[in-house]
Amino acid sequence: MRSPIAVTVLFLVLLIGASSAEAHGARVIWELRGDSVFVSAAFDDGMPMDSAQVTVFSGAAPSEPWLTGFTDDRGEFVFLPDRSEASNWDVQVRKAGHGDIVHLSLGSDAEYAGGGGGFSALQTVLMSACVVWGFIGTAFFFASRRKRG
Amino acid sequence: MRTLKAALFAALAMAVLLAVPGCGDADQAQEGSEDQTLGPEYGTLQFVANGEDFVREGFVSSDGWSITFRHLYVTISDLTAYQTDPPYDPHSHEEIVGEVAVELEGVHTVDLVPGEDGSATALVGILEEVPAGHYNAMSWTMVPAADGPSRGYSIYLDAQAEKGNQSYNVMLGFEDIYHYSAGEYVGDVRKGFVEPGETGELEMTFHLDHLFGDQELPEDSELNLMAMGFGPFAALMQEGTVEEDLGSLASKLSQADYEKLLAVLSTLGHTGEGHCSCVVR
Repeated sequence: MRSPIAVTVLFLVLLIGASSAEAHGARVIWELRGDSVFVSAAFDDGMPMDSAQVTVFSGAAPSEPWLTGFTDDRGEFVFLPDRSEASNWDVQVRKAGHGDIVHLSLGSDAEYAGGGGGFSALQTVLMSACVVWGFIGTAFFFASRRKRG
Repeated sequence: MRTLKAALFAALAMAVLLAVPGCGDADQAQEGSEDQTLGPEYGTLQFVANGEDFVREGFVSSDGWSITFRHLYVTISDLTAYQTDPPYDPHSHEEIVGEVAVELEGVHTVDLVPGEDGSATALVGILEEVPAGHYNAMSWTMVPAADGPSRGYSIYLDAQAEKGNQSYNVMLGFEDIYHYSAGEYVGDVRKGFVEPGETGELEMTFHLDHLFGDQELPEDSELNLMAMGFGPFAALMQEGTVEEDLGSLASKLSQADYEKLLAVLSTLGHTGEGHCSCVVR
């Protein structure tokens, strides 16, 4: 992971792993922090949406709340999605007539357990290229040693 | 040389193995639609419009005018519901592109003030035999009514404004055309799900507090700073009546107030508390 390509791939993963959405009067952003989803909500003027109503929906039963709660005094909310249940989640945050809903695509549980973390096709191709290039380099290394021997 | 061939073969084999997750991608794509498509079956989708308690019960404007509505007509056309994946973001200000799109034909004028049935929402129309799934985006255009009490206006309000010993009949008509593109409904319940053989609902919500402000909110709140209040309209009173439209307001209001009015009118349409992108024509 020290090669420039690997660092670039890591940067892309971090970049794509976070998403944001804004709405009239409200702005909700989210990101993965380890296994948990971190949600932060603020009004358009930057004031945190403290004590805002949060409703989490699982893609497995999207019309029924999977979890409800409230943001803290910083407008933040953290939850641990059950990835074995669904890969798609929606989080709605509302307060005083302002609100927004954001969509989270987390990848499947199997991919997550395997370290895939819901990589996109581009990410997969880049990582594959890195690994294959490593094997080719190894092959040339041993080939050159054999010639010298 | 044999070592080189073996190593290259191993690299090639590894490349093939790494390509296998492509199948995983297909699985993921299928999962991605788990809440989008419930099957090939069909159901019914009904469209409603809602003026919220502000229109149903009246409210006090940011500058202290008590406003009650006799009628608030909106005229809607090109009403289309979509199933989109990923969900539509109205802040992109792009046109909605959906895997499924269904349109309610015709032009529909509805009164957001409840009639005798007391229904909180006004029924705009019903579409039968629509593909089941989650309709998580919608668009509509507000156009001037061709006839009826709101003829010539896309939004027309008939209200009473009172403050102290002042009481005015208020008739305001807005003749611009507003095209709204909305994401998912945001509110107490999640809307837009059409189960096979059942009826789902989508709602257009109109926030009249954006126009007049809300005294229950702080004076320096974002909404009240954006709103007109009623004072600029009261200043146009003639014989107990304020009757204006955008054509007359353009010359009667100050330039700043008129521009503020045009800006705020484009923010009236929502889906629940969810924002819409609006193009004024």
